[in-house]
Amino acid sequence: MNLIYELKNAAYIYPGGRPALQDINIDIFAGERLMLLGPNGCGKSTLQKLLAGLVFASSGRVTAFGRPITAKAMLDKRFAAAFRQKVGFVFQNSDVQLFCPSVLEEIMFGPLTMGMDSSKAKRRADELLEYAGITFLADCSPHHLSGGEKKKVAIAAILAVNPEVLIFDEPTNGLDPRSQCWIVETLNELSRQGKTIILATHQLEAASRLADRVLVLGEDHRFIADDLPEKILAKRELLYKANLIAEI
Amino acid sequence: MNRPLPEWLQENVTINLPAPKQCVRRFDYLEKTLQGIYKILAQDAHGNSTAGKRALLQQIEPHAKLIAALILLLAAAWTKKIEFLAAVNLLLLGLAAQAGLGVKSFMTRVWLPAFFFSGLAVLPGIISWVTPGESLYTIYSGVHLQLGWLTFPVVLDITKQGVQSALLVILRSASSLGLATLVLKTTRWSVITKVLAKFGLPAAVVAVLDLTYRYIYLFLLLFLEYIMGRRSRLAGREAQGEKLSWIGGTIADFLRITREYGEDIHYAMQSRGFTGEYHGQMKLKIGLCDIGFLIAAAIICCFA
Repeated sequence: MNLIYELKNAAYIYPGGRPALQDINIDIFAGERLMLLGPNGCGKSTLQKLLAGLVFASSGRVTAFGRPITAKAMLDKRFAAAFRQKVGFVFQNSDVQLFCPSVLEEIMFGPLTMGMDSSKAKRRADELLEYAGITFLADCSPHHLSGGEKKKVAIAAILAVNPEVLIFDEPTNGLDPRSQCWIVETLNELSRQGKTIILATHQLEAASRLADRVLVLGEDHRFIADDLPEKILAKRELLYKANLIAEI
Repeated sequence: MNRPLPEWLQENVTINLPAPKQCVRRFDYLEKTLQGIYKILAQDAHGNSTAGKRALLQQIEPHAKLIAALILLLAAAWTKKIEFLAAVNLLLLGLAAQAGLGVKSFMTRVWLPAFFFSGLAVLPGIISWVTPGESLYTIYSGVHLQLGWLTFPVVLDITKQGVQSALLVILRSASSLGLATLVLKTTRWSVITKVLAKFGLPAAVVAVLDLTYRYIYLFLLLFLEYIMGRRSRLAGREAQGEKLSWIGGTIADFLRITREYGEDIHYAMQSRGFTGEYHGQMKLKIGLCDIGFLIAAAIICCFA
């Protein structure tokens, strides 16, 4: 399997001086379904932002596709554009990533910025709208949609550039069962197509459904386990230590 | 059951990631400013600010500290003695260093604006044309110059009186700015507002100041996430016009969000029994050390 990400002793400190991640060492391979499991505030989202090249390690090394991911490297617009095309990030709060006046423009934004002609971008957007079952929302403003609809638009907007790596931050959090089901099926389908999926959650039950490798982040912002989902779920003491269950 | 994925999404197109080139960092004013504000607020929120350090000014009771600052401020505004103002500024510098603010950081915050803003404003006042008096340096003499209705003086000097009054203004603004900086950097904002409430600031204003500070932090975090959200989707070059329209759209969106938040916060306050009265006061706990501090400030003012 191709190595996509390599993190060596990576750490991230918030501007206020608090540590978010400490001594992170992982290798992520192409086609993996990786789940970051951990309690609130352990640094899952920060780690995902690190992998998406949105924040940069305060110390240590982060390499993606064989290239170092640093603030300096991201200054090169050609490099940054290619990286963004390869890695898509779906935020927990859909509102922060939906900024176009209509749902259709939102989905066309990525393909248009990567230089696709508008008719092809429109075709892509139409197909994605149909896939998500939200064609009727094409002309609506994204801010007036329900939570589940916003999430579908955010995912469609990311899928529109067809990235190789998809990073999802708490994708099913706070959604109705039907929207959750759609997201789970979409993630599994994308994984079957060979995409690398990296998700963060604190919901234990999602691990076996959505991942084939689980990394557990502890409250001290370090990895405390890296194993198959069924093995992780069987270690009650570990889950208790990671504040993922209330009692053993 | 989901519909099948579009055909193009089933293809795994791998694009090459080029080696990054050395690029010069473009100055992003908006993001840099927001990051700077966030850093200050985050430090304050997590107790890492200078207000949390154990030093003289941080130990002084906030009421005593504010009263001392106020009387020193009045003395600095009232005095015409340059020596007094210079001594006050030296004292403030010493206190800043003791409080852990860092001499360099204090100088940048206080002396840079004092020189640039007050200095530029009073610069014309040092010449004999504006402030006549005893000459310190002659810029030119014996020149008869007339531009239309404007007649320039035959001799132009820098005068002692002009320099003195300019120095007075600069030192005065530096001491005022220094005092304000020291109070703000060594006392938590929430404590300052409570002390101000004790001094008679209306409760509604205190509530607004308290809530504003809290929600600026929240909205700032949200706005930085907006910037990140957009950046994560920029899979190519963007036109300047597009960026500007995004900023416009985001501002409009933020107005909507703040209005919604405002409503929800008000409902939340009402649900917890808020009837328009804001209890934002703190108890006065003045000790011997605080009284000593007040007396010292009063003695200093006697030399004004």
